[in-house]
Amino acid sequence: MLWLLSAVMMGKDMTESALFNMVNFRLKNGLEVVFLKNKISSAASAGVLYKYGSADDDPKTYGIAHFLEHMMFKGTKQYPKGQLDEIIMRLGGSHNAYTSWDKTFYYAVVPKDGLRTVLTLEADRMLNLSFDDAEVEPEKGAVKEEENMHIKNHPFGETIKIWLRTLFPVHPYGVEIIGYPEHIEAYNAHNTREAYQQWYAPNNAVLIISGNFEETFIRNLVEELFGGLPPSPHIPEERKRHQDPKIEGLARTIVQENTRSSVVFCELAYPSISLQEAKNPAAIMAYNVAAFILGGNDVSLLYKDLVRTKKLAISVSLSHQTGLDTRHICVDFELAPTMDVKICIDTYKKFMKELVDYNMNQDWFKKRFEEVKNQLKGQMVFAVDGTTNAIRIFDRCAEGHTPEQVNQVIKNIDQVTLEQVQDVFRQLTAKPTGTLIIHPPHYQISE
Amino acid sequence: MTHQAHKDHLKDLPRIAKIDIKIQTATVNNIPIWYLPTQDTELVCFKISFKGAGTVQDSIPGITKMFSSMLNEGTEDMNSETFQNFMLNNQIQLFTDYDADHLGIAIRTIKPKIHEAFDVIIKIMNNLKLAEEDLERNRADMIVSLEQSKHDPFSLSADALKRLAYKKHPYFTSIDEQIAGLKTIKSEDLRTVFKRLGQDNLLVTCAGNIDVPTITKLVNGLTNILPKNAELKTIPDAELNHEKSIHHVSMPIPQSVIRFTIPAIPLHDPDYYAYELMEGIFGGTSMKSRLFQDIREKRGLAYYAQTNIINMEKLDVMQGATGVSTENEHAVVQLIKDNMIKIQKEGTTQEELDFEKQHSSGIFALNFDSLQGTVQTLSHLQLDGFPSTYINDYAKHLDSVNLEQIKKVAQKYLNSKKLIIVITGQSHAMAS
Repeated sequence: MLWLLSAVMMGKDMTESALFNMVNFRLKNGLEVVFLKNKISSAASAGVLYKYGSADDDPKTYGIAHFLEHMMFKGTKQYPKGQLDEIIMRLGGSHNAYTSWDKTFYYAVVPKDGLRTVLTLEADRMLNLSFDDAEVEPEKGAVKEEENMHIKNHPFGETIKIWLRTLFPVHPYGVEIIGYPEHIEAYNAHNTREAYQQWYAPNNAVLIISGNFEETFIRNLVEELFGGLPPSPHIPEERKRHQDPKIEGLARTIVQENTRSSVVFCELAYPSISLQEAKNPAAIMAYNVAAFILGGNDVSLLYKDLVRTKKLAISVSLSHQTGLDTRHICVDFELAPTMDVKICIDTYKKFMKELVDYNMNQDWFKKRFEEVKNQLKGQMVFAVDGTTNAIRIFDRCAEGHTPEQVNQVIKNIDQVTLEQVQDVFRQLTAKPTGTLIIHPPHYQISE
Repeated sequence: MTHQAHKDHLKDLPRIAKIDIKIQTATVNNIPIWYLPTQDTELVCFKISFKGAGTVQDSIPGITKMFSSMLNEGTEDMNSETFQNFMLNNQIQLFTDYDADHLGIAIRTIKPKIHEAFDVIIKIMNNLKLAEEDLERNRADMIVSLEQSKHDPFSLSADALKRLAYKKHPYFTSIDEQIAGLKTIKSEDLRTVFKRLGQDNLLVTCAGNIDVPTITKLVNGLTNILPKNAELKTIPDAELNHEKSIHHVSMPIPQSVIRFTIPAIPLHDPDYYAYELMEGIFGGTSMKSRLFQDIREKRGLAYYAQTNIINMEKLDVMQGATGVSTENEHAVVQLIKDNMIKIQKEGTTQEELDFEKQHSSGIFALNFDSLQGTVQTLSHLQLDGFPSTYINDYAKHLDSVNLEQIKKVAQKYLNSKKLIIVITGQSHAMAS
């Protein structure tokens, strides 16, 4: 009886581990569709995700993916400039977009009845973007001010720019998504349209919808509005970017005395792995679990040791940065100017060494590992609160994940093994790819 | 063809977006409860808010900030670490929020854990830990963040606006005053915050898989431990300081942050709806507003240009912000003034008004997309003293506004002579 019971329970777990009540299908023209049912919201959210970001751009015009995102609000022949905004806003909705290195995502939230209109507009601008050449220069002005705001006005903005290039000397992840001012200068109507022609097509997009609708309604509506769009023959099989050379033993350290800093900020970046390389989502998730155990919150192991007990830092946190290509797992420390960054880093290294040499094989750690996995899974259930939150989670489909893999995040966490996490810890005891320290004037780093 | 397609989408649109959700209300032990129950989710959100218990009551600047943070640092039977693990293991999320006027504690959890969540709230309110080491850790963190915020143009310019545009008032404690305060705060000071939390200023909202008998249990628990009456000191009205209309703060940044403020209409004025629509047409957050169109769309001078209305218990103002390169500062200040004068003189067009009605009513409805958004919105409306029917009547009120009323509120309030502007940037770095 026992085996039967456990089989039944496993079956139950499998279905319950899905985050959303999801329907996933593909149109003949290649458009991938994800529908996430939300029974309680009176709103509907829809997003179009293009598998195209600034890392796909030509090195002369890095960031044109982001500029194109701006120009996509300029309209089409059928819905000229301003009408797109006007229609969405008159519907009582709001819409916006974001661009990253690997993706461009347009999203709108509207009262439920407005879904058809939003999808009509998205289908239209997937094929028919039309802007006046005269609109390019003023929009470049707005993008320059966006760059001023995010980078030049930020106390660490210019430093982060150098830091990115340090971590990625060749790979386009080394340039800010918005591009350098000289890249922005190089955008024109012609190359913007070229980027649009190359990347915007149903066979390079994922349409994500959430709301209280019937599956049949969504299938019919999407087929009606997007089914007639032609697939593009230009979409590359593989999004190949210039890869960084693998150089052993190279120490890359950036130290800045920053007059606009009152805090000592330190980041250590270690290589991670992308889904493209790892193939298996649980292998990626192992980095997330490792980051969460070590520095995910105020009860994580490193926070407890360095902040609570030894008072060597104000905060310590780990983040796992994912992308289509391999990025990093980063350890961030924040110190008051009275604290010693050298002692902090040394203590961290000692902690990691003891963890790998001894602690991670102890029973207390194995218990903590299981507890933390359950905590991570437990937090996931809140992702279903609201249609707006729901569709955003699926932007990872532009990083090589299938919608099913995104929806099975709880299962992915479950499958992470102790050995996988121990492996990540071992990587964190190796030399980091880079070290960044930003400190206030007159701060001395001890030898 | 073009216009036809456009019209097709708009022809069936209602002039305003009506909200058909029905907020239910109950009163338990004289405590008003607003709730939106549904069986179609496992999630539950609830929030307890205390009217008038915000930072304005601080005897030392930073008390509420620290108190709010310490709510997550354990109770007498659970130290900080045990508490935080308990919350994670039980899928209970705690959100604390405060502003100058109010203080709130919200919980998001799953139905099977609702009673654990209630117990946590009661323990926090009755037996908060306030351990010395947690206080020190939070203190160090807050001071470093506040020091660093002085290098951030957004924080620094907001701080400058508080200091320069308004007369001294407990609403406006500067970053430096907060740092100085935080350095001295002791756990006894934090305990005084509990005096602000009484049955008579408690409001409760909830949404999700929860029913009245369940909420009643929470409210009974709270009334058992909360004093009948909160002890709140009386706060005077806050005022703008019109001694100088334009202030400069120096900071070595290429993009100056321009912030401005001007007196606005009180929240419960019958013309409030007209004012709200007028403000949306002038600035607001929409891409169709006159400021956004003039500053960004036509000229590309800024990435953002927006305004918002701030109605506090003792202050009603409109504030705005935009970021422009140093050489465009004067042009943009002039554009802001010109647009104010134009609306004041000519009012707005019917088309703009119709658009803004649809837009504002729709945006309001989107607050109810998530349970968390619902609970926050309901709590704000309760704190502002509106009846629960406000939610369903809001669109109707907007719809009744006409062009005359828009012109009237513009003439009364959109007075560019009362405008106070603070520019943070490098053009004046040399001078000061």
